[in-house]
Amino acid sequence: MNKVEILKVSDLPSGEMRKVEVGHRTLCVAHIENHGFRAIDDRCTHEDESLSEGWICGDSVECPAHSSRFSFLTGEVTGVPAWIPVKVYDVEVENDTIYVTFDDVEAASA
Amino acid sequence: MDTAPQAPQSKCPVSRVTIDTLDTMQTVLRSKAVEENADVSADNYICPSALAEINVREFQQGNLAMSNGDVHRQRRRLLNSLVRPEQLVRFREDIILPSVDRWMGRAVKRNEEGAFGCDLAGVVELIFLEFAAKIIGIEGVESEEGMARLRGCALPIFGGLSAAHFEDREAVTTAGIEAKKVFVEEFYRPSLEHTRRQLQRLAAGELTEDDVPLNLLQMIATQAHETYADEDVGIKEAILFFVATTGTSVQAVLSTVEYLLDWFEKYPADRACIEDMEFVSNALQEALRLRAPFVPFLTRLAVDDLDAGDVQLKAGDEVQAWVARAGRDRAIFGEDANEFNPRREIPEGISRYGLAFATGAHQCLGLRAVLGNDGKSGSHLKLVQGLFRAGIRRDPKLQAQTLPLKASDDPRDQIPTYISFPVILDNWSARA
Repeated sequence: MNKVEILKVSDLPSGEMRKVEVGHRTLCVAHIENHGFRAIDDRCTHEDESLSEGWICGDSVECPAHSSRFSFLTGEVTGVPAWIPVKVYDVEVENDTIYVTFDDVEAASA
Repeated sequence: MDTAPQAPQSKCPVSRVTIDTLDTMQTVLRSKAVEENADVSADNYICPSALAEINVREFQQGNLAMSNGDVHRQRRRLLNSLVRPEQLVRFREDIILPSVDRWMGRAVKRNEEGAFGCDLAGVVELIFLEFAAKIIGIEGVESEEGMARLRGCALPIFGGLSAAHFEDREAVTTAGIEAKKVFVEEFYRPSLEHTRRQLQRLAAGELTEDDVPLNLLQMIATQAHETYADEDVGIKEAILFFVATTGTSVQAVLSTVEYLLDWFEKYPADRACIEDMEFVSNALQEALRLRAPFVPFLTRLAVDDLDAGDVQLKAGDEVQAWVARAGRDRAIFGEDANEFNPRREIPEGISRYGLAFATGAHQCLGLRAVLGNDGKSGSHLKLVQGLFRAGIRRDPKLQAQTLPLKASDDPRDQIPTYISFPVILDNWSARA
């Protein structure tokens, strides 16, 4: 396991999200009301689009291109046309810093 | 792949490339090497003609479907707000289902034998015309008189937009232009003015946001995208919505009903499955896979070379994507791909509706309106369910009529466009 610092808490007010590059991975990191900081893969599984350029809708993100939705909590599809979930990453907050934990393989490639 | 010989006047050395397998079509439609192009869509690219030029100028050039790159992305993002989940619920509950009650209530009559019946094609057209009007923001269509006037525009405008697919292109184009004039003068401009006044009253605090539901004309009135400053673009956008919302929805519902009637005759035990929204959704998606988009092919222009496996495109090539043929691809959907089967096993990574909504940047905006946010709660599905609850069957005394498209020898291209679909409703009640 490998914990990687990605942002400061103050970088991401509630209700906002941001694209974060970690190695060759691109994450969509969001600050969700009542659920804190969450991180998923930034690439929409339906088409090659950046989810962080879309909208936060409740605890989901809506893709800007075709409106597919994915849960920040589980990665599951919450709105068609996508049908494949996105990967969810463990997020921790320590003091003013947000960390994402990758498994060994991901860390090695990051 | 089939590369047709060039026409004498062709823009040398481009080719017309036909694709009809699902894998290749996905690769091509998702590639940035191909774009939408009004001249290609109107068959004005390889074989230019005065009629095709009119088709481009009057109906295609400048609408969302024919935009590409950043402009398309910006406009698409804007218009996506019309099919957000809360909007889909509003469409279903506040517009389509009340409209079903209203128009079915007016159209269903007792026949000589005392059975309740109607021309389903006509009624479903009215329902989706009202839906189209509301999503655009067109006023004055809830009365029978207003709707009759709008309905008079619908088929000719569909013909005008899709004239390249019809045999008598001159007559279709002429009728389309006349209908467009009526649409613009009697509906588009007055409704846009009404929208502007509503927005002024909203800004003045005389109306609330609930009084002024989101629609296309609001975006045009506020020039939410800079291209909407041009009235011609706004008109063509409204026409695109008008045709896309009405024509394909009507044919999708009628085809689903037709296929399900045959299916239930073959498998009577499945009649109870009409209460299962996943089954209904599967049925509608099967009908779409086999027949949508209810024109023989979509077009694209290659703007760069592309290696799509069994097809090599060169920049400048015209692409014809025969979507319904791809939906019947045996390599993907099995040996019975030509058959309707709502219980079909679908390979992972493939949509049951095939490429009925296309794919890539230009995937149809209406997908979510048809299927619903969860894929099984869309308005179209509820309508199909309601018709079977009302005991729908074909009228044994009247034949359905279809529109003549260009002839094709390939049985996969025999896709009916219904202009009448007489039915009997054995359990009819206004709330069925």
